[in-house]
Parts: sequence; structure tokens; C-alpha cells
Amino acid sequence: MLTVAAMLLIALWVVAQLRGLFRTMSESHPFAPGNALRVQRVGWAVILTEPVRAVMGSGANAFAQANFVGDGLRFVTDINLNLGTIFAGFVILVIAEVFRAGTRLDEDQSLTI
Amino acid sequence: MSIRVKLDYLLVDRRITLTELAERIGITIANLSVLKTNKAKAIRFSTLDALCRELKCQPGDLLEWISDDQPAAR
Repeated sequence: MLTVAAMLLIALWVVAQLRGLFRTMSESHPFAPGNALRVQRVGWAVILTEPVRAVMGSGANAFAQANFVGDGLRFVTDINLNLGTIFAGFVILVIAEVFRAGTRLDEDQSLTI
Repeated sequence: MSIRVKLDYLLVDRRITLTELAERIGITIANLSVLKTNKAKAIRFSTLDALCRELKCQPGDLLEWISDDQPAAR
């Protein structure tokens, strides 16, 4: 129950980061200084929560297997780590570096008279 | 930054205000102020051309290179 609450909090935190990102984009300022950090945080959240999700899923299935019996009822208790999700997290980290470079170029451009 | 923009001296010498110069060359006062206070990171040739035309000077009159261990020439 606590881990579900923690995962929900992390999801809300990620949504808050994305809100900040979209707010600056709607103001036509995509390379605002804080955006690189926001995107980086989302990337790390995706990478770090995937193993937690896999373990939680396996744990929940193991609990169900131990406590519920029924004909034809099977629970998969393997830890099913989605490597695609982790790869997507690393792609998001690369995008964060692009934002960081864009912020530097934007600052240089704004001080080019 | 080792390149100094001597816009302040030229403005006094040519007896023109920053506002007037900004209007003449089509740059905002804010941007010209960034240039005057040496906060700019780069200057476009088009801006340099406009400044030299209005101030009737050469780029060398406007820009000065200062080494780290020497004071600015007046």
C-alpha cells in the first residue's frame, strides 16, 4: 500500500515537472533555464521507477498466488523488467542534454546585439 | 570579457544620447545598453555597420581589446 502511494507521488511529481515544461513552451520560451533539469528529472524517474514497478508487480502476483486459489488461476511471479522503458528513460536524458545546449545557445543569442 | 565597447566615450564625443542612437539604428535601448555596459557576448556585423555609420567612426574606434593585466586605454 505504501509503495503504491509512493509510486503515485512520483507520478504526480513527474506531472508537475511536465507542467513546468509545457508552461514555458506555451510562453514561446522552450529553452528556459530550468527545462533541462526538468527533462533530466523525468528521465531518471522513468529509469529508476521501472525496476520498482517490476518488483512490485512480481510481489503482488506472489501475494495473490499465496492467498488465492482457483481452477485455471495462474499468477506470473517473474520479475518482468521492461528494457524498452529503461531505454526510453535514457533517450529522455539525451533530450535533456539537447535542452541544456539549447539553453546555452539561447543565452548567447539573447546577448548578441 | 577582453573586448571592450567604447560606446560611452563615443556618445559623449558625438554629443548624442543612447535613446537617439537607438532610434537611428533601429535597435532597442535595452539592447544598446547591453552593448554599452559590455554585457554583450557578440555583435552582428549589421549592428557594427549601423553604429559606425551613425557615429561616423571605424570599428576600431568602437572596439578595444584589453589584456587581463592592463587597464583600458582612454
